[in-house]
Amino acid sequence: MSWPARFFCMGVALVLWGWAFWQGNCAHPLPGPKAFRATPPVAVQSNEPAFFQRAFIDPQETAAFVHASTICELPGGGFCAAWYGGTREGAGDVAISFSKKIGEEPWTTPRSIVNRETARAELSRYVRKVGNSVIFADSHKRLWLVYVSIALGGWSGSSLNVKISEDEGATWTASRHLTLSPFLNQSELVRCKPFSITEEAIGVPIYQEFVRRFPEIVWFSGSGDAARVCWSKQRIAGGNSYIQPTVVCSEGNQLQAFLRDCTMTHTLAVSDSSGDANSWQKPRRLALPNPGSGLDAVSLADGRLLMVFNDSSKRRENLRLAVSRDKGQTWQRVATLEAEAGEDFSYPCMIQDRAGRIHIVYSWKHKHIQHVVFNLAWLDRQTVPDSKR
Amino acid sequence: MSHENLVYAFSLVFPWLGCTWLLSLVFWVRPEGFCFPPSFLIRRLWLPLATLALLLLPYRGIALGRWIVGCNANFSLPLTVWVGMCLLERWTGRRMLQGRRMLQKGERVVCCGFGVLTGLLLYPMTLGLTALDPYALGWQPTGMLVAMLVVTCTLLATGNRFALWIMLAILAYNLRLLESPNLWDYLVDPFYFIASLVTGIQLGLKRLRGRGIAEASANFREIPFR
Repeated sequence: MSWPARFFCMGVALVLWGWAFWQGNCAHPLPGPKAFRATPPVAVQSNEPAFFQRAFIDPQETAAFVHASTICELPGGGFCAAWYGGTREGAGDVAISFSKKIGEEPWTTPRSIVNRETARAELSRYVRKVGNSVIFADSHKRLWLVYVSIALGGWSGSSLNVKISEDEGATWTASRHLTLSPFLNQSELVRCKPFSITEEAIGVPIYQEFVRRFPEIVWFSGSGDAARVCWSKQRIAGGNSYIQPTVVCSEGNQLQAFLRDCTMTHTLAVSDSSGDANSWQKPRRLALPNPGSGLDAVSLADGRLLMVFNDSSKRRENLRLAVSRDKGQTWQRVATLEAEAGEDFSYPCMIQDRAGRIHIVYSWKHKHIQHVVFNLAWLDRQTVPDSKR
Repeated sequence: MSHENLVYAFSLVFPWLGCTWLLSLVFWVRPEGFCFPPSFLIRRLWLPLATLALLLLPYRGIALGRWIVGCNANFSLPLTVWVGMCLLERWTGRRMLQGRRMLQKGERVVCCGFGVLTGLLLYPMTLGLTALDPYALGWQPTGMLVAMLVVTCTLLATGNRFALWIMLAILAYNLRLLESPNLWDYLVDPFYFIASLVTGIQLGLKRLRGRGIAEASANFREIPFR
C-alpha cells in the first residue's frame, strides 16, 4: 500500500467511525439500564372487602398440553393472557394462544396468534416449533409478545422473537427475530413478565440454556414506531445455576431478581442490583425450596414482596403464596392456591393491576390455564403455618 | 429499497458466496484447464448465477438461502470478504492479480489472529464462563469503536490491507446490514473463528516446516564433504 493510499484510507476510516459514533449515541441510542428509572407500585386506597376468584381461561380443553401462561393488563382496561398449547411440550403443532377479558365478561375464546407455520413465514426461515411467551403493554398503549422459536435441537437451540399489536391484540405485526447471543444466536429463552415499564426502556428477564444456564435481561426501547424495535442485553449472573429470573422493583431504584434453581440444592435464590441497575450482586440462597420450576413475585405498595412458587424441593404438586416484609430476606407462607399429590401446578405469572388486585395465571395440570384474582384484603387475612409444607 | 429488504438481500450474500465457493471445489477443479461449458465468460459466470438461482428457489415456502440463515443469520464481514476473496482468486485463477494472492502472508496472519483473538475473548465469557459479558460492550460500542479505530489506523500505517476488511465491517454496522445491532456480530462469528483457528494452525505448521527445512539445508551445507 502506498503512503497516499494509506492516508486516504485513514481519512475514510475517520468518516466511518464518526458515522458509527453518531449512530450509536445520537441517531439510534439503544435502551439499557442507564435509561432505567424504577417505578415502584402505586398505593391504591380501597375499601373493597376481601375478594378471591378463580376461573379457567380456557374452560374447554383446547390442547392436550398447555403451559407457560402470561398475563397483562390492557392499556384500555381489561386483561389479556397468552400461553402455548399442543399435543405435548415441544411438539410441532404447538401454537401460542391469546385470550382477553374485558370487565366482568368471561375470557374470550382462545385464538392462535403464532404457530410454527406463521412464524416460519413471517421470519422467512426454518422454525421447528414455538414455545414460551411473555406479553406486556408499553407506555404507548401497544402490546408486545416476546416468544421462543426453535430451529435446531431442543430448548437449548431456541431464540427470541417479537410481535407488536397496536389494537390490543386484534392484529399483530410480523415477527421480528432478536439477535441476543454471538454464538449462532442459540438458547435465549423467556418466561417471566417484564418490570418497571418506563418510556425509555422495558426490561424483560430472559435466560440462557446452551453451554451453561444463567439469567439475563433484554432491554427494549418502548418509544418509536412498531417497525423499529431496539434492544440490548445485560447479564444478571454467570455460572451454571440459575434460570428464569423474575425481577421486582422496590424503593430506591432497587431491583431484585428471584431465580429458579437448576442445581441439586433445590432452593430459590435472589440477586440484588446496584442502585442504577447497571450491575448485579452474586446470587444468594433463600430458605424457600424449589423443585426446578418457575416462580413469580411482585412488589406491593406497602413495601412487602409477594411470591407465588412451588413449595417443594421435588415436585410441582402445590402452589403457595409467601410474603416478605424485609426485602426478600425472610419469607412467610400465607396461602395455598393449589395442592394435590402427583399433580402439576406450575409456571405462575403474577401481576398487580391498577386497582390493586393481584392476578395469577398458571398451568393447571397442563390441561387448563387457571386465572386467580384476589385483593390485598383477602391476602392480609391469609396465614399458612410452615407445618403445611 | 427499504431497510428490511436490504437486510434480507444482504443475508443471502454469504450463503451465495459460500455455496458458490463450495460448488467451485467440485465443478472448478482446474480454472485454467478444461471446464464445462467452455466459453470464457460463461465458464466463469455460470456457477455463481446457477448458485444464486438455486438459493432463491423456494422450498416449503422459504428460499433455500434463507434455510442457511436459519442456522446463522449473522455472518461476519471478515468471513464474508474472506470467502469472497477465495472465490475471486479461484474465479480469476489469480491472473488478474499478477499471480499474487489478495492478502499477503503478513496480512493473512493478522486476519487469522484477529479471528482467533476476538473469538477467544468473546465466546467463552459470553457462553457463561464468567459473570462478565463482553458481548454487552457491542450494544453501545463506544469503547469498542475506539479500540477498532486504533487497530485499523495501526494496520493502515503498516500498510496491512486487513484494515480495509475492518472498515467494511464498520460500514456494514453503520448501515445495519445484519439482523443484529451488536458490533461484535459484524466483526466475528463462530465460522470465522474456526476458519481462523484452522488456517492459523496451518500457517504455523508451514512456518515450522519451513524453518525445519531451512535448518536441515543449513546443516547439510555444514556437513564437510568427504
